[in-house]
Amino acid sequence: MMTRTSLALTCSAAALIVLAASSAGAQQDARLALIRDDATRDVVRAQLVSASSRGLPADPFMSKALEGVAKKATSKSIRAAMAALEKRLRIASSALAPTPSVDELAAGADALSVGVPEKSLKQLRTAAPGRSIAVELGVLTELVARGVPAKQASKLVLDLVARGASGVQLTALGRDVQGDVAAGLKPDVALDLRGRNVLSLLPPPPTVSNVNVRPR
Amino acid sequence: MSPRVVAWVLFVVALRAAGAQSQQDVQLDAGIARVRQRARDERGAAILGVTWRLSDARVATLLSAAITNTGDSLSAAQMLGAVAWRPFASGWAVVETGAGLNVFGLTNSLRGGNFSGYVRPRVNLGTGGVWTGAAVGSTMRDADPSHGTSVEAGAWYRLGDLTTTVMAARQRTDDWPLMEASGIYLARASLMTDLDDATLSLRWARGRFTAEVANTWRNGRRATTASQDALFWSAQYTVNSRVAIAVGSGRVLSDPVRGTPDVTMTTAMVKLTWRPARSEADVPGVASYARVVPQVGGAMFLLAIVAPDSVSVDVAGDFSGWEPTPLLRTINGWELQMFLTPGRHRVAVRYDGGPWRAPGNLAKMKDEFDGEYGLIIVP
Repeated sequence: MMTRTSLALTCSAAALIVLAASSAGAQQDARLALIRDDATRDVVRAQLVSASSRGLPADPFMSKALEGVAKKATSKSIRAAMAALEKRLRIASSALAPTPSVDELAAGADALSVGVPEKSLKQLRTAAPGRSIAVELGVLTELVARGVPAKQASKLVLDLVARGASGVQLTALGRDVQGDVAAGLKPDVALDLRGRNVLSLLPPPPTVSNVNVRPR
Repeated sequence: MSPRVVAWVLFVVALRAAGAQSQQDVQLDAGIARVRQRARDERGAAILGVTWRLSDARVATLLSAAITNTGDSLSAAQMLGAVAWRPFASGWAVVETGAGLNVFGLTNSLRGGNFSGYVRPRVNLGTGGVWTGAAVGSTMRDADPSHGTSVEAGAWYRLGDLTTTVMAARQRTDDWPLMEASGIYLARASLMTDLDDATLSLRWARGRFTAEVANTWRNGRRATTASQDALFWSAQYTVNSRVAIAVGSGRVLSDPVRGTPDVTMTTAMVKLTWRPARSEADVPGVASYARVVPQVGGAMFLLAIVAPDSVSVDVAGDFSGWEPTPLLRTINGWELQMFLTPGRHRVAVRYDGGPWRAPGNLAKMKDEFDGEYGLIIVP
């Protein structure tokens, strides 16, 4: 039987959830109000409803819509951009299952947009099942956007994640590759050199011999 | 050719040039003025001008034409062609040369004209610079020929929003009708009028607003008796990348090289500019550098932009809800400093209301709106 204390806690939690939901809704309405063109606002509202019905977060859509408005895009192009984003978010959601965060979904959608295969997203999730991989996906996207082949970049980031590289090490890798590319090095060569450097600083990968050894 | 026909020709030339796709822009200036030439009645005037600029990293070309219609014999037309050449890629040295043609008495009868040319080498020294120059001009006024020469030297220095320019010029002419009309006389028999000019100008620019005030002091030399000074101020507000509004008032001393008279005027102009969409890659002299410095709880994002010819530079991104935010103008260009929380951030910049682009060295991402943005990852 529910005690008075637990009843009070449950009611408080429910009230907080309702408040948070209504606050998020109010925030979304405020951001929608920033879109002055009625046709564009209707398009965005419809897209948000569609995304919500599929369990996708509203934030990436809202941001894309506001970006389109700032860039003076037509409501038709904003609709097309949001539809393309929804498709990428759905793929990312499936690849990063079971419970991807909003940041991970947005980063995954970015990665897909530059040509990172869905398989790489799944591999990254498998390599780091219990924590956010938003930074890892972001660095992977940066590398591919800078001209590193998607396959090579995916493999290296996967290796680094498996070896426990930190977010700071990964972002530093992205910066170093950028500097090398600016200095005239080919992106794939730059990644190879910088990647080896980071890998050399990490502990060795788990192997059959050191994982499965059990005291007899 | 009547002023109306000339105006239409200028307008059509402007539109045709604006339609061409290259690194060029066309500016159409239209306005009204109250003009009073020394010892004459004040009158209203309509001004229409067209300026066409074409530039790349080494050479900039300018052609301009303007017509001032006062409805009487004071109406005039001016044309100018100029080329600026940067011999070195770093742009520290510039050699500018040009030629101008003035036609007087446009409405009633062609009372004459003037042809002039100049050369002006300039050295840019960081936030300032120096220049020297020489100009010659020949004037035909009511079938009476005359000539003028000028040598000048000047320097400018920019401190924050304020640019200070000083210039000294020495001029010589035998255009006595122009000099007498300007109140400059010879104390004794001489064929030439000799003048020394000193000019101080202050220009203040912040965001979309620019104000300038210039004062010129003129004194006679040798046989010439003259002691004049003239103050002219102007202000401009850039509404957007295509439209600017400008007002100005004051006195402009006679120019013996170009044959223009001593006038006091007040002007109000609308400036319309057509230019193809420009990005960082195709605007000469524009460069940007973004740096993300990791800090406790996030990172400091530093963006530095050099855009010497830009009136405004805006930044937008997730952090501003994609609301365009004007960058702060600094002594070296434009700057942004902001703290970013961990995560993924998108950012884009634009110059003079042009297309949004990824700044400098950030990873460039296509944005599905025919543009791009830069990606920042903060661990």
